[in-house]
Amino acid sequence: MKSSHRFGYLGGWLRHAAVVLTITALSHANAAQPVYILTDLGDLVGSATIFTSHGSAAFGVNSVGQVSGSSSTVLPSGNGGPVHAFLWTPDVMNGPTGHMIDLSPSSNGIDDGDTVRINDFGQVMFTDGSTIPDVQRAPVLWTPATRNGTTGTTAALVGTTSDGFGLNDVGQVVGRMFPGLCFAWTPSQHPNGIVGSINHHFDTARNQDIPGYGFGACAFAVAINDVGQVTGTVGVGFWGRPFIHINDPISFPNMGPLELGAIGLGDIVGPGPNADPNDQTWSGGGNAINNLGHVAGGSVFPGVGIHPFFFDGTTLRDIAPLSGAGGTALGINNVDQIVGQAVFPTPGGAFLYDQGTTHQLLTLVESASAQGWSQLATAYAINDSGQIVGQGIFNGQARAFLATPIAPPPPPTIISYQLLFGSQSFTMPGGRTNLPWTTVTGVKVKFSKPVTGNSASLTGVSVTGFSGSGTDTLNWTFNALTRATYNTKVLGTTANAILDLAGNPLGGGVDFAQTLNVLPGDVSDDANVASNDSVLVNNARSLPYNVIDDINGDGVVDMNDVNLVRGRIGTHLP
Amino acid sequence: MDEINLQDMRSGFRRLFMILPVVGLLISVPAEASLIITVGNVFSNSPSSSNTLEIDLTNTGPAPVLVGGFSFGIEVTDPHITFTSATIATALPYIFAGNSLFGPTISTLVGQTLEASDLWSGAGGATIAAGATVGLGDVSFDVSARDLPGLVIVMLSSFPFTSLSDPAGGNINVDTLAAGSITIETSAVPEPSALMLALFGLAALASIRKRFYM
Repeated sequence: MKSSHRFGYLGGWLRHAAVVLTITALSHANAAQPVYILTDLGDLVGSATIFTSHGSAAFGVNSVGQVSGSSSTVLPSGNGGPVHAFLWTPDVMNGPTGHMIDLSPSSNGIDDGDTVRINDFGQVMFTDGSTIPDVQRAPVLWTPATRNGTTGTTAALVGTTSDGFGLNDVGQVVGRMFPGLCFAWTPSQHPNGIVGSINHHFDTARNQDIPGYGFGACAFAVAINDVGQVTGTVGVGFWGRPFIHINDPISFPNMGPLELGAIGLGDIVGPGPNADPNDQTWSGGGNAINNLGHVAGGSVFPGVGIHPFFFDGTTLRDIAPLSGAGGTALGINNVDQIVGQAVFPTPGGAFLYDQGTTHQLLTLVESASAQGWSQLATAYAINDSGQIVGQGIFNGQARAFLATPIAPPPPPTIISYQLLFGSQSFTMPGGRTNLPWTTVTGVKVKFSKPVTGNSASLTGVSVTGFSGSGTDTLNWTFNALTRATYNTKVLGTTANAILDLAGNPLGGGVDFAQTLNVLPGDVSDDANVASNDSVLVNNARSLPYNVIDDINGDGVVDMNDVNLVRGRIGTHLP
Repeated sequence: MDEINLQDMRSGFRRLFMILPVVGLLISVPAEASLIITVGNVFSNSPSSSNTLEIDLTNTGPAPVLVGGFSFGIEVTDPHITFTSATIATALPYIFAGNSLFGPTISTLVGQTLEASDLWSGAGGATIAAGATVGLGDVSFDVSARDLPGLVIVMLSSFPFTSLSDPAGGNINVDTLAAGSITIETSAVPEPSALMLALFGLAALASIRKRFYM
């Protein structure tokens, strides 16, 4: 597989810079929570021996978890063969296991491995190097016989040398046509038809409509979303700039020719159109666009170099994990999760940007090294389920990976909250409002997993003793509670929060509240101690043991308990 | 004021204070009331000791009531009165006669406030027939020395201090808690000025009660 034309001169520099910086990375991985499991997507059947320089890579993932990518092959002679496009289909929707098929078994291989895209229907678009006579390379579209099927047909889209870069869910394709034209191809049978036409060129003349870019040309139309908005790179002199084509986007069913009027993203957030074609400021390109019109890409930020960016419709922001280190964003889903490649202190540039934080993807994977993954180099795409595809190093070889999110380990929760009194215990709330015992001197809390805590992790009572940290049961002791209401809390917040051994706080960061209405003698639970309570305890002396009547918690209901109640007749809580 | 006149006055007080609680009782009892706990009205000298006061339970309802336990609390504000005990030695038949769990002494707290309780010993309880009155406790008290005669109201503490329970531990509603009194008689001849004050006070009290019952 050769280098992608998608990034052109800018992308090549970016990739080179990122690789160099990755290799010279520093140390210490982030201690992030593992949330992904990895699948080695392997190589095409019959191509077990792969180029060490480039084995397989995955570039697209659709909503059901099908993956598109490319895989190197080996000729019978043992020499390196052409690169083939593959389709990997999970055994179950969004599952981590599946099987791979070769989409171009009879061709001489695809020309540009970075352009193997897949949409939700299961169509796969890639640039074929040989199927069209007299054309050096051109995009083709493989369409399954049925939605997400594994048999289908391949159709050429463009009769001239060109590259396809973007594919949306209705089957529209955008790309670059030589010389210097961006195009959009739309199926005539829509959605997802296999016959269509190029219904628009982003050409030099039309780009004169772009404010401040009168001398520019569309260098690359890289991605198109489901409502027809396009992003890519518009040429400005020697440098390219990211753009988003937002005026009158292509849409179904009122599909019509694209009207120009694209604007440069730099115009929105930067210092404005720069007429100097040799000024690199704000150079870059959009690489992916979601259905919200939000764009991910790479751009030169003044003073810091080329960084991955996220354009949220208003602001173009730098999402690089480290200042001064390069990178670019390559994929974005409809919940604004972004993936790409950037420089981290440790090898492996694949990143996930999620809710304002850029994570090194490898640190989010559970037991990656034990599975054979030494690094995840680049993340190319992410679907709305959060599945990520890209290329990493698996047992020393470059391999396509699928990272599937798994539910994060649940935070510790409280299984039981027990009161300790005398030799007895009672699990709260136990159907009671008021507690009739005179010797409540402890709380014993059982958690869903081993936890750590301290004496201050229980509030609402004056704790005098604590034990059990590191186990799944914690004990707090205190002087016998007298008649009063105690609003106790087992903390899931603050520095005294209960934490599991991975550092997750109780309930995900929520305090557990338990009110203790201590009213010794109130066995009837009517909030008053009266003669009926003494009758109940007296009666209980001749009944099977019931801890409710064991006022002093000594394990037996006797006259001592009756007298304890009798001595409290007339009392109630304030 | 001579001794004869004083004796006449005491006789008048006695009649007055024996009648007033009864009148008050009749006025305060609702027509549908069925259970009344009453504090007795007694006379005691100042100073004296081992005086007694009885707490009774009356079932004025149409049906018998089964009682498995009771408690009562009484209180006075006059510091010359000190309750010393409560026993089951009541003048009327004791409610749990022959089946008292805690008797003969059933008080749990003494002083200006007294608390007492008792339970039916064993299974079941005492049946209080319709119209019957039984004793709940015989309260002993001391009266310390004071200069003037006077009336001390003995209040019953409200629920849950004063309560009835059925044999299963269910609360039985008590409809009326009727206060009683201790009339303190003094043997010493009071100073004229003190006597006048007492007379004014009694006259005023009689006037108030009269207006209240009109």
